[in-house]
Amino acid sequence: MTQYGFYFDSSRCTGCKTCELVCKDYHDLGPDILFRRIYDFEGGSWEKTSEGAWEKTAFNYHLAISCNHCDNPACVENCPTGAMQKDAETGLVNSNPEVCIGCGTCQKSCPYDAPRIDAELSISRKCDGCLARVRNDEQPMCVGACPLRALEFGPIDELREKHGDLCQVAPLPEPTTSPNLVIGSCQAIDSDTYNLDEGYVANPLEVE
Amino acid sequence: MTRKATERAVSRRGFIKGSTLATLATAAGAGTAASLFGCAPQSAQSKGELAQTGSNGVVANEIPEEGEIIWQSCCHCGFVACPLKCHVVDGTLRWIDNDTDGDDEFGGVSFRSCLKARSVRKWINSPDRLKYPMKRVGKRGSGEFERISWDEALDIIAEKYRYTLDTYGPEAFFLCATGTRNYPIQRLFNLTGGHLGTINSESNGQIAQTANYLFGFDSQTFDCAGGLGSNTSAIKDADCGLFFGCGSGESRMCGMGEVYEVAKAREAGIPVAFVDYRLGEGSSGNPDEWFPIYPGTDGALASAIAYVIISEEKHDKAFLDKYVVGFDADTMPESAPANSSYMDYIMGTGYDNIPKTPEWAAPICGLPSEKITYLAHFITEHETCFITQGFGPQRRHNGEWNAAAIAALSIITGNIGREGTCPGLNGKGMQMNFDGGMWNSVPIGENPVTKKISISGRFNAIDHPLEMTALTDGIQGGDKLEVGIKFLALYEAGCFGNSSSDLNWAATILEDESKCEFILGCDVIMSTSLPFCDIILPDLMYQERMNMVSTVTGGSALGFVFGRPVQEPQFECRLSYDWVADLAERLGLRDEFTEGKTWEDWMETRYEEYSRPSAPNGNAPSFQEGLEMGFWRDPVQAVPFIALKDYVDDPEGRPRTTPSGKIELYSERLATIRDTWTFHNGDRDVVRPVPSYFPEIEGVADINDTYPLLFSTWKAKNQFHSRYQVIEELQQACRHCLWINPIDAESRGIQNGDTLRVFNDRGEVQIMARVTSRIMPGVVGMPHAHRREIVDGVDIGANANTLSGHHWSPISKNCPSTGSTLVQVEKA
Repeated sequence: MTQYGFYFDSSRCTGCKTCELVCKDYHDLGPDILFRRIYDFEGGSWEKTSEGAWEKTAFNYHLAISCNHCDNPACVENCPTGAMQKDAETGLVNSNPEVCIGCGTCQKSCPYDAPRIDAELSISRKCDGCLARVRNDEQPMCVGACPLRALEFGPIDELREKHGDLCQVAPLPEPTTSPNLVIGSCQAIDSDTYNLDEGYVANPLEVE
Repeated sequence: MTRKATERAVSRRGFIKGSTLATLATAAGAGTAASLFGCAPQSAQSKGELAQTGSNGVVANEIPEEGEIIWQSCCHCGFVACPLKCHVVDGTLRWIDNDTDGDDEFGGVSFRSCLKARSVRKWINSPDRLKYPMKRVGKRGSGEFERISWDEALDIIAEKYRYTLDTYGPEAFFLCATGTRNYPIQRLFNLTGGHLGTINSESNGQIAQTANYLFGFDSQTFDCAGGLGSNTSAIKDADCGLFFGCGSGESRMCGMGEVYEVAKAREAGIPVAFVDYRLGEGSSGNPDEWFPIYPGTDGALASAIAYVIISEEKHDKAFLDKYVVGFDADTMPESAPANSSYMDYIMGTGYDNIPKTPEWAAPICGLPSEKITYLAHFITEHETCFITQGFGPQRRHNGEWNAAAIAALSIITGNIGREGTCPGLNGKGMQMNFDGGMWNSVPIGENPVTKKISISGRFNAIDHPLEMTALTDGIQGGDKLEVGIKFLALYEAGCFGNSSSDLNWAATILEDESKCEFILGCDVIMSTSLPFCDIILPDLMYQERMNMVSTVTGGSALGFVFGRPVQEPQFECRLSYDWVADLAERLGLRDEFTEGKTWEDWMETRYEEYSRPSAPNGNAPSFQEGLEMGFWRDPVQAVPFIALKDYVDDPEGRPRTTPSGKIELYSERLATIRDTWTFHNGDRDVVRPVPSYFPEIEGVADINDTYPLLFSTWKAKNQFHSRYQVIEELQQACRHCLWINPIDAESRGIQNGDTLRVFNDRGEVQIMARVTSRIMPGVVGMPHAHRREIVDGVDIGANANTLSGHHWSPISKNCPSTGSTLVQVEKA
């Protein structure tokens, strides 16, 4: 098996959400299902100076996260029907709609909030890395669409060799499922000026 | 069981939202990240189990058919026009891809559109489309219409047309569109005697005048016209870049616009700095680049930067002596009094006699003096600094002066006319010729009416036209207006909701049927403007007609879209050219209007005569070849345009159109305007012959207890003006919010997600709060042009112009519909 995964460059991403909307257009998802989510992580403070100006430690960066197609996917482990599977050839994870009963266990167990329950169809739906395209030697739609070229997709070993193995920055949880995600860092993350502990997701309604 | 599980899923999302808000309110630390993602941490699974479950190939999500590929363009969002690779299945647009050729590098970059373009399927198939001609039955603004036939609609329009022409003459006709020219009805207007014209674009009216007085134009290339400088891709040859008020992460966000060029420059080791009142998306992830100042104070900051540069004698005296009038006493025109040079203003030896020190500017603009000094050194310690500005600093009451003061920094440091420079003006788009601002159209001919008003003056010209004169309102082509606007044609949303200020005031003018007697609207979806129309006609979407448009890029690449319809016209929607031809027939002018040509014939004519010859490398395909290709990209690597290069290379052979033929830091023309015009805003309208700063109306100098917050706007990511707003997916992806700093939120008890009232004496809007450190304390703002919806006097749609003031700038008489506005904010 060649495990595939995503690379995301937080220094380039402008939070434009083109990846999110391309995915919706291609997969015909409609307003209620979100495969790729863009978290606006921001924070910092302001202080008035003696001359009446402002010093600031304000910062922001975005994280565009879909499914991380984990080595040890919690959704697969916890799926009561066996609908959620990991592809033998690519390591991409998806649910079989013929088997899925839409119980929502996958969504509840995923640390990244990736699977979503389609209320109309009563099944779980999620990013499969555009598996049908990958099997046809094409890139996932989001990767080819990113205006900033902040996304890459490929064999995870190659992505890690090229970009390192960072896979956790705030607000992502500590990795417990061996996610196949590589994150490119940015100045906001690397600089001591900014206290990421003060950060928060400022757009909760846009990722729910 | 399924239903129960879904409820659980929903309640979990509720938990995420709640926990995030709570964390924000307490400004708590590390718990935040865990609370968003960490409600159900899971144990790792063993490899053995994985092998069992993963032994088969998984079921892939369904993907759409390839279908037939038809190229089209997006809406042209005021700057770029992205090519769309439309996949049409069974006669219907199914999905959209971007240009998949090209590469990621400067000069041949592939054309990648933004989220708006990727939602066009939802746009052209929206249930909210206008479907039939309609006649107003309620009072103006009520939105009450009834369906009528095309014949009845055109008969009514023809009758009003003849009546207006006979009663008031051609000066009473006016077209209002989203900054665009060359609509077919203009051709008809010009066949019947013409129409009242406009001087400026709403986008760039102030900086266009600044460029005119400061740089003039090149009489061959018109370089600097409209306030446009070099292509932004020129930054690749600079040593650093300084951006004033550039929201390119929102307004030029596609993959061949400014924002990508800045990212590439950053990665190439070219440091960039952004001066803005908010941390825009261009610097997301790179907050060191952000230098916050209060809106409308760019002129103060730029003057203080100039003070440091001149004090340290880092200005380029040789360049100034050769190319520039009015920097110091050595190059002043004879008419100028003593101590009136630009240097006299900056150093405090003339005008207000205040040295524009960093300590002077710091409390005005809110940036610490040592940061101001840092920015001065940022320019002078690099051999070449690419200095540019967005349209924000100029779109204010004092906008002409913000624009001029920024541009002066390029002038005094000689960062002009050579590789890697921009004369402090806006980033110019790289494009081939095409009609107007949007796409190829019919030639509109000459307008026999020479009289023009400022585009912001249209409501004044409906309300009190006879008071409008050349010396008070900047009328050109005549001393005064003889008649008001009586026949108003509105194309595409524009006019009322998007770019006009003080909409409650403007609404009262449109509602009065005795003022503008007939209003015709033509659009694709019901906009904020259309309820004021007497007749509404349903237009075709661009993607439903032959659509010829040049791509416009930041200088990375060049291309042309030969768009064919992706689907048949729906309902009774019609091509504008066709119904205007039918209207022309009712006026006895069909043959003159069409010259026997169809829209498709005109597309070929305009491409071959106007667009094709403008390809810089002479290699554009023929019209027929282009139609087969659908999209043509110039295979020759694009070379960035450098503003004023011709002048700097050959100052005698390529003089500017200024009176001196040079760059004019001291303008005798501005001195004349100062001495001869009467200004609406009394001594608040300051005109000086040199770039300088004065405090705008409803700016930092006017903050008061009743309205203590500066209000400003930017372009939304997810809509172009109000266009695309009806797409639910886009609204969910980018919520319409008021940005407010935590300091201002805390003192008002406001938390992220709260519903707010934002108000001043002009109006009130209701909108959700986004509490964020990405906007300065004392400043609030929102994306402009959200659809207005009045309920009990409150705009619950939250259009920014329900709040903005109608304070004309002194010279161009343009309105600051995006700023120069004070408000108060409360929890609703």
